[in-house]
Amino acid sequence: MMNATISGWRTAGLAGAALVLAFVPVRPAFAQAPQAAARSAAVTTSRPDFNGVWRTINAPAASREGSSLRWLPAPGELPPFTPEYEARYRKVQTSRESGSEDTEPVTRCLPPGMPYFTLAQYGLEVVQSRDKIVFFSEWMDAYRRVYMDGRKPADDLDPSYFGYSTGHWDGDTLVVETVSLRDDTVLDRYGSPHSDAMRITERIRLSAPDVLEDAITVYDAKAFTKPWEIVRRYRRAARDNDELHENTCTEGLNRRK
Amino acid sequence: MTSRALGIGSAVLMLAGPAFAHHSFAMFDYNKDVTIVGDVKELQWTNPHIHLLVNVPDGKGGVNEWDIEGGTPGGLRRNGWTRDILKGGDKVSVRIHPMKDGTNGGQLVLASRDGKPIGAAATQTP
Repeated sequence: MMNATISGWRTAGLAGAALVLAFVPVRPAFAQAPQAAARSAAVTTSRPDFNGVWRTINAPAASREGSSLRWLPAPGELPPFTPEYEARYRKVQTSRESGSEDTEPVTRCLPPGMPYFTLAQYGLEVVQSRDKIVFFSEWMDAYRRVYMDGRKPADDLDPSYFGYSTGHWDGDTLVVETVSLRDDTVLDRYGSPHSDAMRITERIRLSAPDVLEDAITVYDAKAFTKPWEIVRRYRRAARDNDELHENTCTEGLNRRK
Repeated sequence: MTSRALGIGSAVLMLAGPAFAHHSFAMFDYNKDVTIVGDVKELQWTNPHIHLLVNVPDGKGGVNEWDIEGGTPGGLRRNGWTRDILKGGDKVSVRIHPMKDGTNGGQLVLASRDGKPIGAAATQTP
């Protein structure tokens, strides 16, 4: 028997960090005094080690007060939209209220893009080398790479879902600049829109030995009245929970219906 | 959209746009919880989201098939599910957020068998 009751709402849900130090001796300058040279040689460029699997710990709870939508933003959670983009955002909400999937490109297996990739509550895996750092998400099997070898983005890059990311170290903080992002992605689970002027700066560091912090600043002079700032933190996955699973979206296209 | 007959005189319209690998979250009504009770037809352990097909008696000797969408296989495994945790014929009670358009489907909130919940949580949230 079917029992159809309207019963209310429901809201959804360390291992030791080995700090691997890459010792790169600094070559003393030719004219340095022996004492200064000895001091220089002792200076090493150690970098934090982000390698491993990380799980979000400070994502906002699903808020849904009196709405049929899955998520409603908490106060202050949305980007600082200009009036034009605020109006676009409201159209997204109206569309979603109607049950339309038009504003959910990921439903069509399109990549989440940025910064949605970083905001999602799925596992994040970092593979780090000196010249490149790659971030893998379990969500949609998506990944983004950050070039660390000093190269610069070309002037004629094609816009892409994850853009073109270059990084450098500012002390123990990894600074990532991302440009050349497509304008047809959504920024977050609320479907926030943006323009082709969007670029992103991230400052990523270990705020505690097993806590990875990504302070994200999204710049969009056409869509925002000021830069949009978000901070996400992740805890190093426990040893028995440190594998990402496959999440191949297109597999669902072959599902028996 | 495809249609299929389920049981004698019982036809269910399933909304299944061929371009979509999974239901849009906008299709589910998060203001409503509905509990359906029936027999498992099949647990489709597939990315990006699992689907639990449940045959629910229609009160006229036939059944209606409900298509319940859950979380990712990876996320559900972490919550205690496995691909064979539910088998055809298992009697289940399933709480869902139903489809806004009234078709027989919804998003999985909690599935229970013999009064015991399956796994710790049903869905994963982007």
